[in-house]
Amino acid sequence: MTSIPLGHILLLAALLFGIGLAGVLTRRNILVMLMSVEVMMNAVNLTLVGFSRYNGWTEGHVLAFFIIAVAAAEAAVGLAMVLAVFRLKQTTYVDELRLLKR
Amino acid sequence: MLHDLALITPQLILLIAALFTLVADPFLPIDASRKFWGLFGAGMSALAVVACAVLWKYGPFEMHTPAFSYHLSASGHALFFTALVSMCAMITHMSSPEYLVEQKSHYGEYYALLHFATFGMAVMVSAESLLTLFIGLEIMSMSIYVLVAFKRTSQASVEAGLKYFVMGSVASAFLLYGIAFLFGLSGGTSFIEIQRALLAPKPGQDLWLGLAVVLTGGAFLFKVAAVPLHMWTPDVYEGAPTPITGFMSSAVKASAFGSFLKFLYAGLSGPAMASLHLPLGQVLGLFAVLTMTVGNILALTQRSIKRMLAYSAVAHAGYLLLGTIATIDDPTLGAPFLAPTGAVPFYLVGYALASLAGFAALSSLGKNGEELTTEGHLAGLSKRHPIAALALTVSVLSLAGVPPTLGFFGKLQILRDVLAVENGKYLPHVIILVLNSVVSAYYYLKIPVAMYMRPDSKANRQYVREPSLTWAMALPALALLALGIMPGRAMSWASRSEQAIRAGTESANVAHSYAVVKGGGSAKPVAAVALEKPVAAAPVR
Repeated sequence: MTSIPLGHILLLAALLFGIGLAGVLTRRNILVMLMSVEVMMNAVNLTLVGFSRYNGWTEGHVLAFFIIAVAAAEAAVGLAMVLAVFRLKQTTYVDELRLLKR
Repeated sequence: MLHDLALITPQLILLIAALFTLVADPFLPIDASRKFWGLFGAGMSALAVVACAVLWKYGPFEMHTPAFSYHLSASGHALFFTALVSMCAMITHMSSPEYLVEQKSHYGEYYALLHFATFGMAVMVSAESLLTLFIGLEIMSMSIYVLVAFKRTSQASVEAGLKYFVMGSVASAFLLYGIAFLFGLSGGTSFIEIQRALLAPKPGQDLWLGLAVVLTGGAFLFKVAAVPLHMWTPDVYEGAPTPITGFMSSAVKASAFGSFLKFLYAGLSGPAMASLHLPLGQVLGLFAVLTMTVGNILALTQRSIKRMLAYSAVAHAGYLLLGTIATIDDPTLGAPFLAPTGAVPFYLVGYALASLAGFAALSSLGKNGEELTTEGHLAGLSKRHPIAALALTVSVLSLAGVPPTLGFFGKLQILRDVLAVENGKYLPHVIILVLNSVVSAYYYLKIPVAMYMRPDSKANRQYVREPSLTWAMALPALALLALGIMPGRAMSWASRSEQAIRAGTESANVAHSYAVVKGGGSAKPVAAVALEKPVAAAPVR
């Protein structure tokens, strides 16, 4: 069986992590920022699963499941908070939330 | 299994309290809910403290044996910090109800979230593996995000919650990425497995280890609000409901430092770290000096007391970071072995009590959605609300480190321990800390001056005078004075907590290698054999 080398998996994960980070730092829409954080989390999952598969470990898979669950909970909290902001300000852009930017 | 469950009794108490609050709140009429949940929460948190004390005193001998196959433990360290955060939760439960009613955001979920946050912290500081540490951290953080945004009609509160949430989730992504690399190096997530993997430096390991240290370290620095990752602190502290601000600056900081110490000592030590040529002590020292200086300078110019105390929280994170140097300097890193005197846990007790007293006093200022927390509002408070003025005074005196209070002894111990490292290698850092304390005295003392010496204005200002809130500010203030006069007991608890990290790690290591030699087998009896060596034997390596 020709398998993908570990280095490629790690590189892909690092790229995903970088894309996610760039998204959080540059995008101004909170929803897109939340999506970018999810991309970062999934990059971590990919790294963990890659290490596990390559070395025949199991704990990485378990950890990835935990992270998926936590990321789902985090998305729920985040969306609820976006909703709370939208109720008060009718916007999802961080540029328009000026109260705390001093 | 039953043994494992017995070791996490404090956490279970907090979890049951949270679930019960969540389930029972819809059935309570609003008036009863306002009266009942604060008392219930304070009682359950106090029960968790009692459970910690019982385990601490009468716990089984193999206490250092991590429960749930190396994921949680009830070591002295875990119990000390669990008791500390539960105590913070108790005071917060007492100070919250009246504040929430006056701010028109009293909902029963608040208390459930507070319990969940405390539960998360308790899991985090008891973690023996990075997996449990992460889960605890997330349980804590997610509850805190919601609690910060809890005044949902207030724009400041909701925006603060959102800001904290976005930055916090990026920080947890960094932590996770670091954990993933540590996992890749060691094939496991428990501290013991990581430490074992770091015993033997492998070729090509340095890059991954370096990345892991930078990523996880960055996440912890964010959580403790160290410069340059402190940007969220003033906004979040100012926007959050005042009791939650107090909870954050006491319990969140305590649990973050508790698990940071554990992670640094139990996770990241060993010859592989030494081969990395990363002077961990000096890096932490640099961050500490930056943090305390920037925090204090920015605090000087603030008008809002909440914002000022937020910057002062940044400065205190700097003092504490300097304190961690004394704990982590390790023979394998080329430094002499130090007796763990518990400077950081001890300092955290004083800092937590001072924050709780101060923010509880601030919670009482203002009714009907008002928050009278700028410097101008404090003029003449000594006549209008003497108890709040007194509690706030004791709190800022302790934060400034004035002798009869606990804050003085905390600072003294950090200074002494850091000076003892390698015959005063960190003397410049210590001098900077002392200079910083002098600067900070200026803005701290502005508060008592405003309250006791400024002429009272004629403005009509209303204050909350409910007994539970008054006790919430009086108890920590009294404790600050009492422990300041008799610091010996708290000091010995704190040093036992740090010893436990060391002893727990080493005995577990012995147990683990023994189990490996024997070709597996159940870990428990083996660990018990290893623990026949008393704690005091740990420094012999």
